[in-house]
Amino acid sequence: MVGYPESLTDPSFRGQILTFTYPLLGNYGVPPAGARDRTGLPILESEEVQVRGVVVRGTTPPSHWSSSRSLAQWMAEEGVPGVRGVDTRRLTEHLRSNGVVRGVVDVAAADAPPSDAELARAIAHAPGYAEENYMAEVAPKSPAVLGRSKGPLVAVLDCGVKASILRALLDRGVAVLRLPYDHEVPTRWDGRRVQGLLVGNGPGDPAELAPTIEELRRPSTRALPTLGICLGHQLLALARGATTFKLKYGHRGQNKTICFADGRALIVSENHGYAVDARSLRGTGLESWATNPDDGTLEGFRDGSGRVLALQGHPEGHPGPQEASFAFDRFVGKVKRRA
Amino acid sequence: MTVALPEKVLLLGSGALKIGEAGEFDYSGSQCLKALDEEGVYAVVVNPNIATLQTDPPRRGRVYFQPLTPEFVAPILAAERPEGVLLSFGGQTALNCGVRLSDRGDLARTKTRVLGTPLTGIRSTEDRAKFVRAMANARVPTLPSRAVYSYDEALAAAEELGFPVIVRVAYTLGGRGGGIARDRAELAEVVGRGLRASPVGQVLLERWVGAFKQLEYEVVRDARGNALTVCNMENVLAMRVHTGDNVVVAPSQTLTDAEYQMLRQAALRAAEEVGIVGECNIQFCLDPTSEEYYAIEINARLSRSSALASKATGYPLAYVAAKLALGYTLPELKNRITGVTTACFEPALDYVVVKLPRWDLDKFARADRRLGPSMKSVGEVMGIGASFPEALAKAVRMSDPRADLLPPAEVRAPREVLEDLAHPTPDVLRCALEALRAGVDPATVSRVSFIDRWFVDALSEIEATDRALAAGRGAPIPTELLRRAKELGFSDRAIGRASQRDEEEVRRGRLESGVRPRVRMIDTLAGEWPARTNYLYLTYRADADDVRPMPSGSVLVVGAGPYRIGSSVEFDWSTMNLVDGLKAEGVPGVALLNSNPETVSTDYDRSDRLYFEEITLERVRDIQDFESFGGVVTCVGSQLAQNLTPLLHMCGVPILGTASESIDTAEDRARFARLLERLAIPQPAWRAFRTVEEASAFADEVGYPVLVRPSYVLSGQAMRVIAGRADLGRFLSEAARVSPEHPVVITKFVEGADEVELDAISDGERVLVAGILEHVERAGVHSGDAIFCLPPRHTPEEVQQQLLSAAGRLARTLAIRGPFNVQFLVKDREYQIIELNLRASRSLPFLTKATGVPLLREAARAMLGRPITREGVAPLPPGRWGVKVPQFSFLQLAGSDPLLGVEMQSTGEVACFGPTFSDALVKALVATGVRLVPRRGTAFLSVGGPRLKEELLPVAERLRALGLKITATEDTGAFLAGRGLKGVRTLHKVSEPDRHPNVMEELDRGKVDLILNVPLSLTQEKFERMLEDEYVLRRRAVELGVPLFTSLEAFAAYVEGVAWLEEHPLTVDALYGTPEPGAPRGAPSQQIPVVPRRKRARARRRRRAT
Repeated sequence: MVGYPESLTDPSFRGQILTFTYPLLGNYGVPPAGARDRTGLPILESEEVQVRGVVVRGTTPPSHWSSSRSLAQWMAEEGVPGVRGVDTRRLTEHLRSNGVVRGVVDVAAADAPPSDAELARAIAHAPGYAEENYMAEVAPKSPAVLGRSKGPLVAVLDCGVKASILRALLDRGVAVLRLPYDHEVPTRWDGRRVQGLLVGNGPGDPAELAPTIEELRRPSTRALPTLGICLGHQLLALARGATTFKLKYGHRGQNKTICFADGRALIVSENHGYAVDARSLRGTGLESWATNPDDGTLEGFRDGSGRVLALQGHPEGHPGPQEASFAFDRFVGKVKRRA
Repeated sequence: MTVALPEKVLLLGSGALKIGEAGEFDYSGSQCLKALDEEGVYAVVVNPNIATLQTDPPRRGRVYFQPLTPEFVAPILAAERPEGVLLSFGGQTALNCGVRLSDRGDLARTKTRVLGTPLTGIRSTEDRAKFVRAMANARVPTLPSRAVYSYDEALAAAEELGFPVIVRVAYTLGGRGGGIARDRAELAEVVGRGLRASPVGQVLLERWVGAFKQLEYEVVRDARGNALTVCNMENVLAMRVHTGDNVVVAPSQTLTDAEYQMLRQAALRAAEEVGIVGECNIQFCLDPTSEEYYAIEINARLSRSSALASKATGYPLAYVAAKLALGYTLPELKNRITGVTTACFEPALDYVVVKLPRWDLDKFARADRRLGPSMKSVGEVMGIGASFPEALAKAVRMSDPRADLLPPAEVRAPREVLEDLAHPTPDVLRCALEALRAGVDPATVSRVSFIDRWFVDALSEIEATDRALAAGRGAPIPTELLRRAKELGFSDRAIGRASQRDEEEVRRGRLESGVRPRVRMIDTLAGEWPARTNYLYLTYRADADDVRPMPSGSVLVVGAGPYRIGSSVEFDWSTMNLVDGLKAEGVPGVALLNSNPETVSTDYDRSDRLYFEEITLERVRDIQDFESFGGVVTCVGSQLAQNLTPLLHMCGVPILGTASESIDTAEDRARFARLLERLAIPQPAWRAFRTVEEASAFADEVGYPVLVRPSYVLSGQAMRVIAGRADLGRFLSEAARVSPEHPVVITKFVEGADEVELDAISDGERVLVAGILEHVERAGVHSGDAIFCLPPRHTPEEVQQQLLSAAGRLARTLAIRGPFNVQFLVKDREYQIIELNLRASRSLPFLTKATGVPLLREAARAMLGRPITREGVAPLPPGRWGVKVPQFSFLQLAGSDPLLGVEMQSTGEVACFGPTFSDALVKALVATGVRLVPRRGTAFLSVGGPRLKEELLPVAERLRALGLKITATEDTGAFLAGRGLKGVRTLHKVSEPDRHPNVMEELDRGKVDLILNVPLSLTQEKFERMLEDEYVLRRRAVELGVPLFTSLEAFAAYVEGVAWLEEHPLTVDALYGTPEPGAPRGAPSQQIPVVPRRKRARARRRRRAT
């Protein structure tokens, strides 16, 4: 129930209609428009609402000191429609067994609701999820350096990375070179050596991101200490020759468990419908690091040298737990040692 | 990983139910036993609480009904030699007992390991200084505070921290003895009380943060360090009201993700630092206008909150904690509710849960109604809905089916309402609604009440909808409005009242419009994973049912609702024993309905289907419409369930058990009297009245005293013994206790009679009598407050035969199918019947355990129309005596008068067993916290009236012979001296503080060890000055923990018990058990040094007084 402003601004949800299992939304409102942290990043996960629509059971008036507007006001300002009064538990069960489905949210006058036929037509004519080019919408157009840190420079291949991931790096004293998802990872930038690489989250099917996968295969890129998160986890695996598949039940929520090989377990935030096939790691030089205890799917891997570390879940939280944030510590530690 | 399991462990329970420590620990203990049983571990249970399910005959283990004090547990440790002991499932009582066992070296001596959170961790949560240090290590801020041992230290600390300060007491339950001090005078009072209440003579002063949000996290952690939070909860009435008295919502509703995670991470760090293995509860306060927060406390054990969290989420915390204590890690455990996913996850809720306390403050004469840092509620309920208003409205009806959240149409002036709102009482939410209706803006309501605006806005929505319904009265209710009202939790009756319609008409109308609730499942995963569970609730904000109806012929058992005065864990025991009985009889499916999260019956895997719902006519009919049960059982869920019987019957719902007509005959005084006449069973003279004049004439005719009561009562509500005409007039006219619509029944009150009860099971032909129970006190003390003795000590055999015969005739005439209870008066070898209850009674668990006869299994047969398999009187094993003693919570209820009467006041009970009455009695008294009078201690006697004084004489002589010093009031002292008793010292009255020696002075100096105070008259209106005097004395005795008796017979029994102790060791034996895997070891009788030597006792008290 917490974390809706973060989820709605998460670029991974680009192009999707998002529904919530919790029956109430909007309880603590939304922070003021354009609010930024001290590094200049938006305090939410991106500059705008990323979803195309929202479906909830009920909304409430907001009450919180940090709120400047209600959820409904925010969505109206951003031109994103929403529906309330929907039995979202039923919808969840439908999505659970059918996977992500195409939907339509229509805004109409109360006395002239659209007919079912019109709605069906709208769905039929909408482009498929895989047909759209989300990268054009969520990835930056050109490279930029974030933060004034004199620390080592870390490149981020941005496929729609959450601001919290960038914040997690900046908070640990590194500078960030933010690159478009299909940009080459330079060995030097503006006179500074690139010391590490992070591949973060983003929308869409990982197999469609051929340019990024290609880039990850380049020897100079492979030589960098690398952290993969969510989509980045999948892209790194694909780049090394492993394969991905679509999950029967996607992992979405702030309450997922990952178990490490040594018996430790952590709660993480997750949002993925695809997973890396653990068996396909064989011969890639990568080894399983963490798994999901419920369906046994791969939740993280590393390479033998310890240079590459990847997690399917979100160590940065926002929304959700941050126990796995030690992954950032390890990654930045490696980067700093190298530098 | 393989776990090296212990073969045998000791589990400490929590003893009698008291305010701050109630039936939730039967739930946690039972879950623990389930976990132990699964692992094949032999469990030795120590718990004197006779009414619990955890003390039923175990599948693998042994049960001791013994006090939970080191003196009694140490011999059990020595005899049983368990490998480990579990301290975290029996509340503060078990934890304190464990800490003391360790301090005394008993654990080390017997090589017993503490399983779960180690003692060092427990101590760091119990000792404030250690707690603050631990939290600092974990980078978790705590409120600046000072631990003090005297008033002077307290004053210095308060001035440093700045008034107001809050005073907390170390090692006590439910914030007992604590309070807020706004100035020096209040500081003196609260600190004085707190120092006396603290077993270590220490109180803690802290900055007062009453306006902060109050949040709790339930943390689970294994020995490997894997940890998670199962649930967080928000207290609607902010910090200023104790969480036990607060309205609690889960999950939190007004926190952002940043705040939620900030507190969650702090909770995990704190649990790590303390070294929790199992479960703990962490409480935080959070500034409502910033991210400033502090940890308030950690309960390193299962708690009321953890029981609530288990029910709110479906995550079985106690069960998991027990497995973790045995050495398992979280990822190794399965999520019991889904059966396929791991227990290492955080549940996702797709509903809102609201916990509402149940207070019974009106039952306690003079009790302070204001809510604050000391807990006063006796139970709680949990409403589940798709919105806060829906869950809240359900909870309100769950706490009392007649209760109503909605404000009256005529409201008071805003200023008056706001004044009330500023000082919360149990009516605080209704008061907030009244303020809104009076036109106060929501922002002001929020500011004055400290209730977050979010909750106030929800209340506004309820209020506005009520007005909308009222505005359209006469015209049909638009379906849209009807649906909105139902989604906000309005009952059909509430809609009817607002729109001036009959409840039935509203129901019919809404069913015709297709507005009906849907059955929803609690699956811990918010539907994200396919899980088939049987844990259900109903909501109007849903389009489809999650389950199909149960197989045809299934049965619904209606539970007992919230723990309250008069209905407590014993009815949960009856409910579950009947469920088990029905299952054993092969009923295709047994569903359960209950609203109380502190129960075993709401553990979802104890029945085939659990409806966590309201126990109201409307809701039972909704469920019946969906399920079409073959029968509904209403006779095991106390009077709450029983009251539904005639209503359900009228609606065509099949009732399983005794027919509704028979119940009506037993409960309608006039019909019952006619029946008794026909059966030639004697009864006291009685009549029903509609005016004061008629009543008065009747009382004159039969003679005073008389007993005045309304019909259909539970626990003596509004009953009163009246001594004279003036009192009768006053009692009846005040609060309009008599009116043409509400007649009162007046019964001749027989003075000096004994009270005897009989519990039995009948199939309409045969009768199985569970036992005859004799009250130690004379008639006039409510059955729930009386000490029971089994077998009877005084009732002549021939009278017992008459009672059995009367019960048999009643059973056959009324065609009773199931349990029933009859109450009799016995005087001069004559008996009279005073009450017949055609339902399971409070004493059924005591009799079942004492006799070993599975009474409710027989009841299940009878209710299904099958013949019972036994007849006659269930035999008590030869040489066994059982004594049941009530537990009172007067200390927790500031101001309450501990005088016993016809209104029930106890919050719980214990029973102990032994080879003699005295052996069992002494143990049971100790188990309820009654101190034994030290050798050469001092008794203070104050008895009203010549007859009682006469009866006191032999008791006083006995005391003297035991070497006790005797002090008395002028009157009583003069009488005793006059009869030749030597060395009686007279103490002057409370109201004469200048005359010395004065009783109050002596009491405060710790020079009185035992008090008998039997007021002259049974009415409180007479002799007000003198009675006030005695009240002050009784109250002080409660506050100082000095044993106090207000009945001469109980006092005499106590003295007899003390005399017995002089000559005999107390026995420590298990009541029952299964053979052990290894060599059997029995616990022999032990000499228990429970009588403190005088010197030690006094020194301890002196320390406290400073």
